[in-house]
Amino acid sequence: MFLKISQLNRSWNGFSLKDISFEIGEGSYFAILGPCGAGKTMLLNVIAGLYRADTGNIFAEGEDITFMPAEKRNIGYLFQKDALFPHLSVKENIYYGLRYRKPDMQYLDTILELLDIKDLLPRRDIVNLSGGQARKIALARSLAIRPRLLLLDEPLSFLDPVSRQNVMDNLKSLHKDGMTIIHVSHDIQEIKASADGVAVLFNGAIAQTGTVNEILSRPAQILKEKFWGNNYA
Amino acid sequence: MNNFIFFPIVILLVVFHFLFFRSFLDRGTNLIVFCANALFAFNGITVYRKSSFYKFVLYLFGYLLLFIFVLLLHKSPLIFTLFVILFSAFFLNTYLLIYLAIFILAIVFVTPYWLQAFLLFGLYYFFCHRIYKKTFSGFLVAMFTVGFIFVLLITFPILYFASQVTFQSLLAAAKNPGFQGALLNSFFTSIISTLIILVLGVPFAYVMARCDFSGKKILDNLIDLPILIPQTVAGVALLVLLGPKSPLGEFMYKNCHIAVANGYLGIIAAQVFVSSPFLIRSAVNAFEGVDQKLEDASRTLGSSPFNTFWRISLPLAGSGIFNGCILSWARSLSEVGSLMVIAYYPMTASVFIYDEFIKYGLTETQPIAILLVLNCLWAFIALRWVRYQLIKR
Repeated sequence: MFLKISQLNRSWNGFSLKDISFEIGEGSYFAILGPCGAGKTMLLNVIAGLYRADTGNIFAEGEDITFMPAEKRNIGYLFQKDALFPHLSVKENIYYGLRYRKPDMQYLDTILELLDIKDLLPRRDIVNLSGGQARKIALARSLAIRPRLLLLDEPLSFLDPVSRQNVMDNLKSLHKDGMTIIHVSHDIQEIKASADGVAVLFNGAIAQTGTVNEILSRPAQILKEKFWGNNYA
Repeated sequence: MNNFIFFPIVILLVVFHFLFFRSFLDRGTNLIVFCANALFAFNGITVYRKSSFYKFVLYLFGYLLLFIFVLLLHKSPLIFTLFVILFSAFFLNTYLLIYLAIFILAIVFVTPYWLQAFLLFGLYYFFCHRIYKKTFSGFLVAMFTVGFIFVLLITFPILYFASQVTFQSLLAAAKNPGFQGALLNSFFTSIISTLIILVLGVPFAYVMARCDFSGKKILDNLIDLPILIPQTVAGVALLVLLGPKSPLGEFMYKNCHIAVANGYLGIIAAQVFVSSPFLIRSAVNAFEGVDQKLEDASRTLGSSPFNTFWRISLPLAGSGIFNGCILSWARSLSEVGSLMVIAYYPMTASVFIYDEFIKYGLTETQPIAILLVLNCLWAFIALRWVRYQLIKR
């Protein structure tokens, strides 16, 4: 197993993740679905190492990374609102993580090629980028460090339909190149085409796991009632 | 303009002046007033043709007011002539007309201070106009009106005070060696104390901004404590701790030959004590303004907490911290109370001014005080300018 999370618990400010366990194979495209406030972002933060788990373990490639600090985990993280550094240029943003490891310029080149943002590199200001451009730069920034796992927190939110499709295509080709991806979303349509495994998170606990088709055809009772409504699917 | 209108008006004016104005104006003045009235009358035709009847009535009414207040009550025909000419010229431009109205009101009602009144109210109208044009909000203008009173309260004493001395007395004060030394002391010590607060306060501010822990509220209030404590009390407290008769002061003097009281160290200690809240509070606010997400992003990219602080948090909070430095430095510079207790000598500029006042009185102190204000002002403005450049970048 590439990433294994077992019986993870974490509570913070009155909200808690309860007994989260799932496994992800290498090179898979895993989706975590859930309504707003289900604890999706918190789960990603725990995986990335920004929050520490109260109990439970996280294993990556067989190694226990539960207590490893975030900067040593080598996990790429695309934040919900991009979190680009406003005081740095486009190039400085993308190259930010390269200072802390041996830079692989060839890989970076293929990433820039794939995302088609080479012409943005000379631009100085971050502020005037369009939503799609900013998202791609944030994606390139998290990929530049050559992460073993890519976490995406609502990567298609706040985008116009064209850039949405564009980013979705980029993610698909990244997956095809062998990147393991965890995609967090509240919309099943978003991940229907690409995800090969889904976990549905509800109120901080996993309500159901399976493939997209399984979730759609036989949704768990609690989801029917509270998340999608009875007339869904 | 055709003759059909031109001649009746000229004839009417001539008759009017011959019968009415001649009774209280001499011949030369009457001629000048006649010219002004002619201008007013012909401009009135333009006003009548180009804008509404309502405006034309206003135009006549304005003339009537000028006539009553300036000519009849104030009895100054030449100023009346000037006002009538300006009034006819500016009438169709409301913006200029209001300045003229302020000008006229200032001259008629507060004759001895007419220039000050005109400048202040002109400035007030200028800002109001800008605010209204941007927002179309009468509420904001009303709020500004209240705020402007506050601006007057602060600027008026200093400006009035500054206008009371001559350039010669300033020059003489600048040559005073005692003042020069005190000014140097002031700048030197305030810069050192600001640096000390910067180095010690910024890490503390970062912790206060970044995490919640039990007991944080107590520390948070502790930051502001020096503002609350009277300056003399701060001086006494420091003297009790570090003075020559205290155990610590005695120990330091015997073993390291460091005397805190009545020395630069004492000045710096007092300044650090009283001015630290300004920098630390600004730094806390600045760090709170930096999105935690950015630091998280930096961490996931492989940057250690220290590197993240150095490359992300500090640059983004930089302008706020710099502003805190300016405030803190200004506060150190203006400190008197605690310095008089712990370190009267070597004198800083603020203590020197107090000393002069006690020894020689008000008139002797004024130029020195103004000189100090000027010196602080240029440094303050220069620092603000630097900060502005930093933000723009």
